[in-house]
Amino acid sequence: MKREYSLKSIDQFPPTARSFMSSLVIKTGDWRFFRPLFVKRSSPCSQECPIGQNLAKAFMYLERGDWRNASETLLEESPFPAVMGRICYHPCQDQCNRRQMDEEISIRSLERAIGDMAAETREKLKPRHHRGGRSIGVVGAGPAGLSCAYHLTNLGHSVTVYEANSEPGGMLRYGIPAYRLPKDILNREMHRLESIGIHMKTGVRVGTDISLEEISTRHEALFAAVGAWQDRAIGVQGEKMPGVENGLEFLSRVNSGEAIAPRGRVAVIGGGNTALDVARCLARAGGTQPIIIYRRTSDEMPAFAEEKEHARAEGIQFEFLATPTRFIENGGRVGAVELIRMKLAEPDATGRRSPVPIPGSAFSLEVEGVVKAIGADPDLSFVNVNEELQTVGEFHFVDHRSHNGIYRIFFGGDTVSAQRTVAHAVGSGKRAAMLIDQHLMGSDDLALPPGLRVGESGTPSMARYHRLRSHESIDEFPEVVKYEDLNLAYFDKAPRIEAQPMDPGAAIRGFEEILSGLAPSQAVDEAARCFQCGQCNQCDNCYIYCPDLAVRRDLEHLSREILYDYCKGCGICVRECPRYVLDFEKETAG
Amino acid sequence: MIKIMEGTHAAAYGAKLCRPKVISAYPITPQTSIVEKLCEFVEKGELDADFINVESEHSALAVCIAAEGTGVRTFTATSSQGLALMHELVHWAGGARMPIVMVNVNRALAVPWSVKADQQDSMSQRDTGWLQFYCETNQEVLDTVILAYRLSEMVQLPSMVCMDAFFTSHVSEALDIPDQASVDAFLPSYDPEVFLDITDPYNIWQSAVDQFMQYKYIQQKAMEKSEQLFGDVAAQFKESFGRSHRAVKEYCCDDAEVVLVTTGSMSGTARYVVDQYRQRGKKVGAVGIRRFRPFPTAEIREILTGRKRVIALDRNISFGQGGVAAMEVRNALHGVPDAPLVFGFVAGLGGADVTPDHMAKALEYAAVQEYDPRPRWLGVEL
Repeated sequence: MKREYSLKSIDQFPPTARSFMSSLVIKTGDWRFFRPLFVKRSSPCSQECPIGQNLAKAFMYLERGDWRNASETLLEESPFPAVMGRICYHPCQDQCNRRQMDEEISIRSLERAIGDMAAETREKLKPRHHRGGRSIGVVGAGPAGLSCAYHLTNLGHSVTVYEANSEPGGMLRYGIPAYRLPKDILNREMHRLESIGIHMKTGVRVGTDISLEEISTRHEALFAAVGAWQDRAIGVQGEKMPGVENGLEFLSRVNSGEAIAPRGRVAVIGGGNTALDVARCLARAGGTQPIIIYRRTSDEMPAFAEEKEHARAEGIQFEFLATPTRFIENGGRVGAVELIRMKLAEPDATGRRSPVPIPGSAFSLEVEGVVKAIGADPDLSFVNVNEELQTVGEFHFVDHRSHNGIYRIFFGGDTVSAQRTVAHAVGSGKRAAMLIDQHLMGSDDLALPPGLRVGESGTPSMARYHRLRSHESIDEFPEVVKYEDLNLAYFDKAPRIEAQPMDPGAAIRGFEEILSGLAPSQAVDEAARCFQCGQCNQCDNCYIYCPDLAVRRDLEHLSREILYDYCKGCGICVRECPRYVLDFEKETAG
Repeated sequence: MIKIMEGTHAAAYGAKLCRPKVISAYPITPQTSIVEKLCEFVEKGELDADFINVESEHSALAVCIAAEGTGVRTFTATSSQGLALMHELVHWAGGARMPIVMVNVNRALAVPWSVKADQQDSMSQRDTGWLQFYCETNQEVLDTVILAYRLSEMVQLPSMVCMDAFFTSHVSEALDIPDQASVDAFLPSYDPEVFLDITDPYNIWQSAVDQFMQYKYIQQKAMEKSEQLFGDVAAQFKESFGRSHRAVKEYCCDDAEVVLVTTGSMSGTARYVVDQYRQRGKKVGAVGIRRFRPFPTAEIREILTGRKRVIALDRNISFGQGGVAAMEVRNALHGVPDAPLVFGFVAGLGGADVTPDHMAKALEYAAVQEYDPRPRWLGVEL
């Protein structure tokens, strides 16, 4: 009920003292000496993510039950969250600010929940319509190649991937056993990538089935990510005798469906993830007792901590501080390993303690098989051996000479990376996609534009790159939100919700996936535990506490702004923001 | 629906039926079980309201005022020291014309300390611009809360609904609880004239130096209007719920020579004493004042004109003068030809019983003694 009031007659007075003019005419913003600003800062998990995913934003959506936007946020950076949500070594979780209050967020499980939900609802990234689609060839359908292809496709290009194996996936398919990444999940994700328009040419080995020259004429740019599949030799006697196998070759056969015959005790040489995967596959064969032989101790093993834990739980044996010196034949195949005891020397310049043999400590171990898994190297024979791999910043390329002239091939993934994880490969493919796109748009810069990096040291953000391509501004701050930056008055301790691995006794009876996912409701609850560092989640504290109603909300677009005509600069909003989304800066004179 | 419950719960059920959107209160004996019950309603989802916990009664009323300022119905409850602590904001709510309904359980103010029945707390708030009602029974408590919302919102003034500590608050009686639909029909949704609208902001409750008196004048006019509207609202209430409520409850007054005037729970005792005297052929009547603000001057003049003596019993004392009801009744009768003498008695402070014996003593005293405007103290002097 609106009534007109006036002071002319007492009958027209309002019931209580009230202004006769809208208070909007009083521009209290004139009083301000300090200005609050909404800013976009990075969460520590996102900075640490080798893929550069905006996790705080995804979990903000997830907490609201907005699975569509949660998956879109992840899909902006990651080609297959359902894969990464299963196999990533989640360095993000180590950086989670919540650790300082109770326990970290189960980030990987949330990523998996979002990825699986996206697959179920057939969620795809909204198409972007950048101008000038070009043709790009990618060599290798592993994580790096697929990531590059995915992002270039999203950037509007036409991408063909050449893969030597009969099916795409690379290490995801032939390296990682099904108990970590079920094949149906992988196939589902591969189909999804094909469905967005990536052309997969499988069973085509570049350099053998088709020449590099040939594909260089078909495409305007090339990206090569052929992985590192050449198992390293140990360099001891008997390495080539029957019964001594290579780790990646072994995994590749097992993952292609080849049954493992029971074979008694098998020595697995090495301390990385390949060694653990080999040993765990062997354990699943039944009648086989794998024993991992590693020259350092458990602490120095390069394998992921979680994999070590699962391997131990599954009863895998370890022989630490030992290294093979000879493989001994028995009846035409390996029958024993001669080992020497090692000790760790003082840390070297890199801080790592080198193993040194203890003289006179040789001993032998009777075995019925050996699998070597001490590392692998890339096979770059498809490019001219004379052409040198060049590195500028985080980019690697070869300027290939052919009768057509010189053209540049970008490299990524395990082929060039020191950090050989799927996550790093995916990140590397994404960075290459940006550089190739930039290159095709006419820039010869071997660096990406400033402002793309997540946080101070993270992976460049594809979401931001798309904005740049659409001539929009990048307004993210490089600052990473620290625990001390949060207003902890707004967070309560809450138990972590995490998927539990299946019983190890049952796990080794087959290749069933060990980790179950979180139920959707559990994922939403866990996302609500997330501090959502640096990410406005419309908590409304600024809106509620502002004494001047100087915060305007747009609940539909989840955005808000300060009305500087009225903001007096009291700073209450800044102080009461739980997640450090507001900044406070001094007004400049005038 | 008939339920047996204590007075505090009657207040809570009354409040619940009126669907306040914001409830804020601070616990204090003997009021606590009102807000505990309301908390329970909110917690169980039976009442869609924000229950806002605060650190003091001052804040509780401040929360209600602020919430009312946004245009929603609010409720609070308090007692004694709590009401005293609210005092500044009790005035504010009146001047701001916020139709808040507050239940006050009448309890003694310190010192000495007592948690028992005494009307000192609310009587000393009678000049704050609130409508004031005193209840004798649990049914009156529930009904008056509903009625108070209706009347308050019509005139944009707050209401205080009072009941005596323990005698009413903690005594269980059978209670007829109206159904929600009837209450919704009786009490329309709250649609205030002036409130803080963020889409069309105005400055409210600000300084108005030149119009200060005018605003106070219209506040008094609203109070007078509530006096006129009370009869209509009570008639609608009777139509909706079948129960009558009057500003005063008169008993055997038509031919009475002497009338006992009471408030709150002692009114029943007064009617019992009247019956005793009537059996002996004495023409005694009783008046229980239900609506103390606005004071029922017209009704008092009408009922008491022609009586010889009035015995006003007060469970309160305005030090240096006398009981408040005695003063108010004398004031109401001023100028009435052959107006009865109004004898003031202070009784029942700090929860002391006011017995039929006390009332008999008062009646006997007034029958024989010369008029003295100073109060006599039942249980101390007599």
